[in-house]
Amino acid sequence: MRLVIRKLGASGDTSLVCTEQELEERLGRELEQGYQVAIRTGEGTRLLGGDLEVVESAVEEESREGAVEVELLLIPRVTGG
Amino acid sequence: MSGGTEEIGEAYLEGPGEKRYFLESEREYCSIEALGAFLEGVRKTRMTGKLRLHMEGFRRRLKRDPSPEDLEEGPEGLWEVEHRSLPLGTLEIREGELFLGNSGVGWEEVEEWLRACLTGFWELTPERAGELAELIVSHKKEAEERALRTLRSVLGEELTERFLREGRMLVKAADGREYLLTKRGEVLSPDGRERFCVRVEGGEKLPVYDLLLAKYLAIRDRPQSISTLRRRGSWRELARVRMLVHELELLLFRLQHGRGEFEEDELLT
Repeated sequence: MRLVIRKLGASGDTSLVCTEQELEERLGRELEQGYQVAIRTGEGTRLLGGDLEVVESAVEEESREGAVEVELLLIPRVTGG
Repeated sequence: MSGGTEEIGEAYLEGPGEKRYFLESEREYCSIEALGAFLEGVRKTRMTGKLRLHMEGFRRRLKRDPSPEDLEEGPEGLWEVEHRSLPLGTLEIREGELFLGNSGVGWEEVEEWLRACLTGFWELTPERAGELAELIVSHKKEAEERALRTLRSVLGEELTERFLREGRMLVKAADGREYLLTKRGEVLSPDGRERFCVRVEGGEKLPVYDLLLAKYLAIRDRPQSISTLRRRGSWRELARVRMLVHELELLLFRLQHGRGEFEEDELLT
């Protein structure tokens, strides 16, 4: 399955494409920096949070359901004041 | 200050060069950081006006045609200080908002432009400084357009259009509560009376629609991760509970301190 990762932000107009196996390597640093991941599928977009295991499991589920491509949005951490 | 555009004045920015040259000069210079602080004040007071920006620089260079006296001075006599004053352009401020050319910008873009001018100062012409500003503004526009496309793809055309038209949308959070998210990024209770502080880390660098999308998704899907949205009583409920506690404490006090100090009918109330 093809994973397209897009990071929100001024320089985020370049997407990064990777496989499921490369996911940890591609997302690790951003998650450490506090980014969260939202997954975009045919059903819509949902925010998964900043836990890599949760992201991997959501991607696996999409893969089992036969998705060919999944888009992941990297979103900065949202907090209270 | 409101109404028409009034001249705020001119600012001379420190360009390249040793600090002592700027200190020895009669002109008053400001650093890029100091300009940023000034513009923050302008933003808060919602001023309107125009600020002409200049950048000046100093550097030592070998004299092209040294005189015999210069040669007598030794190696030091062969050098002179070159001073350059470069008009960068005009920054327009409308009720505190910054504009480069005719496009609204944030301090981040202005700073990026000034730092680019600083880097290429000695080769820069006023025309090239203007082109650099245009380039940075167009990059910002592109980022905003891309962010709006992402927002459309997540919210859908209909909801996005309504949001843009009405300037607010109702977001139903995963915990069942509802919030109003405004185009300015404010998070309010549905009746608009209560305001919640919701912050996006590094949000000041994000295109506006990316910022709104981040808030929208976090409020909708993970409200529990935002401390200010965690379920708690409203201020009104809290005030009522405090009043009841106070009344109970008063009653207890009266009972403990005997009937003598109070009128009988007062105790019964």
